[in-house]
Amino acid sequence: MLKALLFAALAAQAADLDAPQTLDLRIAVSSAITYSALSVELSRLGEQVTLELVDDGSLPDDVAWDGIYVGRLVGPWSRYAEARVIGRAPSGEEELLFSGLVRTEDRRRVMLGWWVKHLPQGNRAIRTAVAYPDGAAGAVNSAPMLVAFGWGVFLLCYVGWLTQQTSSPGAT
Amino acid sequence: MTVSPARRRVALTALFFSALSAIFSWPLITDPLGLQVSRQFDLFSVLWTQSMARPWPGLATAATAWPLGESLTRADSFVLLTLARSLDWLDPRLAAPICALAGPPLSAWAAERLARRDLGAAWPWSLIAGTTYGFSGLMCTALLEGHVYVMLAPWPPLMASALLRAERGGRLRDGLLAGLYWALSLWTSAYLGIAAAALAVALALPALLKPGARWRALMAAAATAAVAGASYAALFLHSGALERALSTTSRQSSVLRMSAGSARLGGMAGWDPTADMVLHSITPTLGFTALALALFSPLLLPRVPAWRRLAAAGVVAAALSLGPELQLYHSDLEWPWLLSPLQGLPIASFFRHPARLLWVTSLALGVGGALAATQLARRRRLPALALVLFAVGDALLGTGAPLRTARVPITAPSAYQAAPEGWAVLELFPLYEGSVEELELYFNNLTCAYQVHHRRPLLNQCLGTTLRSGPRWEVGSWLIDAALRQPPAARIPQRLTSLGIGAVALHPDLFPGASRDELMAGLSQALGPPAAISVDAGERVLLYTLPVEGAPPAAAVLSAALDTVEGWE
Repeated sequence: MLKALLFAALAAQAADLDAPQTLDLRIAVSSAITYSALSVELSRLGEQVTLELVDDGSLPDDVAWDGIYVGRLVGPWSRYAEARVIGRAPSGEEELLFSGLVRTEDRRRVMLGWWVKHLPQGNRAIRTAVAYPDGAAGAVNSAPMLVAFGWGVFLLCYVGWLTQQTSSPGAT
Repeated sequence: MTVSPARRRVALTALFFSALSAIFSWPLITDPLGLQVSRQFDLFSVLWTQSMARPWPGLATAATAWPLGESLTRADSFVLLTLARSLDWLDPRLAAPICALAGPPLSAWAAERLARRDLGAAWPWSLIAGTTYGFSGLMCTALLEGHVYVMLAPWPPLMASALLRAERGGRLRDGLLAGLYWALSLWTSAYLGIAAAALAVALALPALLKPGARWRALMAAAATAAVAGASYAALFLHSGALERALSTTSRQSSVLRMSAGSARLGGMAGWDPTADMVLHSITPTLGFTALALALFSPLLLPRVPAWRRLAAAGVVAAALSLGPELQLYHSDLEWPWLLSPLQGLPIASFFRHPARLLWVTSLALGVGGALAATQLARRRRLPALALVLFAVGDALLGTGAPLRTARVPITAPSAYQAAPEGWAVLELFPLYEGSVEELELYFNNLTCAYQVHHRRPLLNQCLGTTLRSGPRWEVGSWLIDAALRQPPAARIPQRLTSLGIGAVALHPDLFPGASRDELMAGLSQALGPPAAISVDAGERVLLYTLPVEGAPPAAAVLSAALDTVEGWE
């Protein structure tokens, strides 16, 4: 049984490495900013691809109209890509929000997240590990930390209870 | 056939830690030679270093920093070099995966043994010591940043064990062993050596001050350690000025760098996804199970002097690991802290990762946790058994190791095969500065790892972290500038071949659009069309070859030519 499970896991892993690389792009836009369209230009492996991101629920994992624009690129494995994030205002004017190199080394699946916010020098897209609607990004980023603290409180109570049980005269 | 309880315990312990290790670094075990799981880029230089173990014991290579060559005495880990050298008959590439896969269980076994044999923890609660130390947040950080040789860290707990036995029994053998284990810590990594030294002082000093102290054994430990330390320092000083260069010179940047390598209060508790977006993935989580147990230790362990010393060392190490500024998560509090007096001193450049002192804290917490759980188990066996499972939760979910690993194939672009053998390859990528300067280290290390496959000499410095220096930086900067001129500078091929360069490897997709096209056009004009173009191994490489014949000139001639680069137009 154990051997079968291990072989299945190894086979799945080998198949995984032969599969194309998936780049998931997610851009959170602050509620005070409005764009009629968001696109990402990715230059990788000698080719340039422009992805129009959507927020209408038409892609898997996308919640319609939640302020998170998503896109997905499936292709050969690339260690990095030159990325440009462009926002198109309702007036039709385009704004360059981000330009730079992004590392995409994971052979299997890479999440590229940005958060578009207003800074003194104008609107900018800032790289983030996760992209969530206004205000939620910080909380989601901190989720593992919050869980860790909750876990810590539970353990303090548990060990405290055990200590109390151990030191009480009737404990067996 | 009957199996003794002791043997069964050993087998179960080995199985437990080995299974934990496979999950901790998953999916490394599925393809140890073809896959790496690090998030950052230090593993690339480890892959290069282990492949360079062959010239040992000469401890120098002419294959990088061409034509100057590099000394391997700055390789940080002589244990890695020795391991790779001893595996040469089989495959030296095994050294890094062995460190990553066997390091944590061996380290865990050593900590478990210290808690059980020397301090009286009972099995299976002694497993808490191994799990907390061998699968700590620092172990996860080492895996994700790529310094996998540090994961082979059984030496500090073995040293502590030998020191305690030397103190109790006064046997010379134990003292010598303690010194040897400290030396192995230092030869595994300088930071592990510093952590082990702090541990040794905390354990041995109070023992020496006691009436009737066993001086002989402890002096043997100190003498062995002194010889090992002196040999390490001698090798370090022997490495040459190029490798010893300070990474930073200004006060401001030394503060920033030491602060970046320090622990955060929040990072000791848990991790968040942003940690893997920058540099070393520093998340030195301590493990709440052991921490909670250790916090109750004054009630549970009133009379264990060795544990008190260990706990004191752990607390001091934790305080120092916070570096020059106290921070909560990232750069938020910025309160001056214990190491702030070091700021601006040259030594700060060589001590940029105070967080690595937490090896001592992990060990202290693990051992304390195992001892406290043993006490609890005397009355409440089953609920106390759950603590072992909780410690496993800390190791896997608290550090987040299996959730954070990457899957990066170990491979190299095929274009390099068109480069003339024996002649050097000049790697051409952008000159990164400012907030993205670490990209220079990334591409430098990555192209060093490619050398393991193509075997041509490189101008890259493959050891050390000094930015904007060395032959590749110097010649690469000149070539980019020369090729972008209109028309390109004269005599580019002749000048490059005078340095023993037989090919230029351009990584065009690293350059922004407009300058990329100009650079490719300029290089084609100066060097002719690329001899090979490959789109594999995760990137596009254009290889321009130069008209060379026979072997390159002697090293002295090439070095003299390198001195003239500054004056080239």
